[in-house]
Amino acid sequence: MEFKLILKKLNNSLTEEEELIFDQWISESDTHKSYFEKVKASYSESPNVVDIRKGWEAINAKINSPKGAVKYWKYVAAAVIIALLSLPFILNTEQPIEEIPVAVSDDTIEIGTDKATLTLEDGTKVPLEKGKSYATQTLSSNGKQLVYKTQSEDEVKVPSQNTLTIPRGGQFYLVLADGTKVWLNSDTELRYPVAFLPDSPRKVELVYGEAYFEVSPSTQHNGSHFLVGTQGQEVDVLGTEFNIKAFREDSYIETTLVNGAVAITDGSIKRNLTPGLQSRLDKTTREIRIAPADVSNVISWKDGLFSFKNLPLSEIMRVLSRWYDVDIEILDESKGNITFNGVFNRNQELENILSIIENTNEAKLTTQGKTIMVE
Amino acid sequence: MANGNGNTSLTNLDATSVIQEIRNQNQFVYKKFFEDTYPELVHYANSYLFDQNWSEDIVQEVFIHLWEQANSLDIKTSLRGYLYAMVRNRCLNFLKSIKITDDAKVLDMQSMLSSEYDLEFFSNDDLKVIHHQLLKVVEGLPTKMQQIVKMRFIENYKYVEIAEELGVSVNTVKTQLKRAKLKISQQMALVLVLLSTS
Repeated sequence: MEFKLILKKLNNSLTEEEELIFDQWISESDTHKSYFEKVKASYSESPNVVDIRKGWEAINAKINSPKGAVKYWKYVAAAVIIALLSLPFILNTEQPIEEIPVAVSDDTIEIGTDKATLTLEDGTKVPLEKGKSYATQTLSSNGKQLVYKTQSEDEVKVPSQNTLTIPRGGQFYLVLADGTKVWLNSDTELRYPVAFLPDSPRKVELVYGEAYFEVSPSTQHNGSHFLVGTQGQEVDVLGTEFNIKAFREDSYIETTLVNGAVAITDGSIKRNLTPGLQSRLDKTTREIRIAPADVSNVISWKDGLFSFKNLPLSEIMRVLSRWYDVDIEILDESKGNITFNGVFNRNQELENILSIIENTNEAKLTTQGKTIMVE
Repeated sequence: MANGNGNTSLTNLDATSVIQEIRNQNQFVYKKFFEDTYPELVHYANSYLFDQNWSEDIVQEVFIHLWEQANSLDIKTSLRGYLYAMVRNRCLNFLKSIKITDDAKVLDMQSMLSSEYDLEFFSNDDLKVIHHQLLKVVEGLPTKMQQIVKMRFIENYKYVEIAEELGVSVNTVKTQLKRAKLKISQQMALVLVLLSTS
């Protein structure tokens, strides 16, 4: 039947002959009837708003379902084609992270998630992870972040020290009692007081790993400086944003200043950083070098991205190993030195990233259990 | 917050790069392209199906097809045009399944009017019928409006070209077209008697 007859029906302008055709059609099935009803209801209506997010979720679930072989990505070291949609990981509520059922074998490589262990002053260890909340008088956690309460001055006597440890395959977000925000990467440990004494420097220690600090300004704390100690280095801050990278396997401590001003001290040496600069302190020679840095590249991890710029494959693999908690074996050193560019979302399977790299035909990557071999 | 990159877009990527990146399974580009075109495609499907859920389902299927078959798609026109054509095909298939035909091109004409996009995939025969119908339905419109609709949909002028030709602003052209579409869809049922019975 011609669609036109539906409109004519709505307009009561069917001829007798057409009426017969129409009646025959509509009585044939419920679907026919329902289509007619829909046309009738919405023919001259303007269209509804389309929910893009809902649509994307439906698609995302299908295209990322692990059926069949992984398609090959030929993403040649193409550089940063796009400034990507950046989602700070504290907003991860918006991104459905696939829940993996409980009984996973030890060899399953999983995408990193929000998790950490909080060690209280008395040595009590509290696991923090998605779905678990924890709260005391001084702090509260929803499993994705840990927030310390601001305390009034007379409450604070000798504040106790807490330690937050992020395992490989984890990340966490922390708000200290002074309002300073800290993003913590995988394989990282931070030690800090649960409250800060008035009129004395606010001091925390990045024991190892990588952290991004957004320091609550000194002006809001009677001029108290904020100090970050890292393996001998100390960063003196007045209120600013910066990243410190000092993983245990790194041979240097990298401090990158995004905003404001900081002073790096190591023993008697003191160097000032201005925004956009990065200091590299050699852990053995204690030599400090300062050079301009690609800031957005350095802090991309905090926004849920891996950003590799001219990075040797061995370093890339090291970054991946922390997030996916896998081991890396470089069987062919020369391959480890090849450099790559690329930006990837951290919320995706390791397999995807490995096949992109492999498709450049520069190196062969083999996965055995939780070990990746590079040759 | 320090990161100023926000929700930056792919505006620098031209259409060829978009399909190329999708072939390379670049999810960022794919997602951005999805976000840019999903609503208009759903509206387009809805102009055949009159059901938002069905329309969303069909458009989602098309996008999944694009992702999974990107390498085997032979895209002669633009990627966007290709998706419009796929959506239309699927809608017509659905209509076929409920025994609805549209030889009079009432649906094609309507969807063409309401689409933001220049549909470039109709065959010459289809276009003939569509234009014929269009000429009939615009008869009742004010002269200026009629003229704009004809220039736009029959002579394929761009907004700017119509504006220049008639010495009005591009906004006037857009507003007139919007009103024309609304009028046409409201009057559609009324003017049907006028439509050819072919």
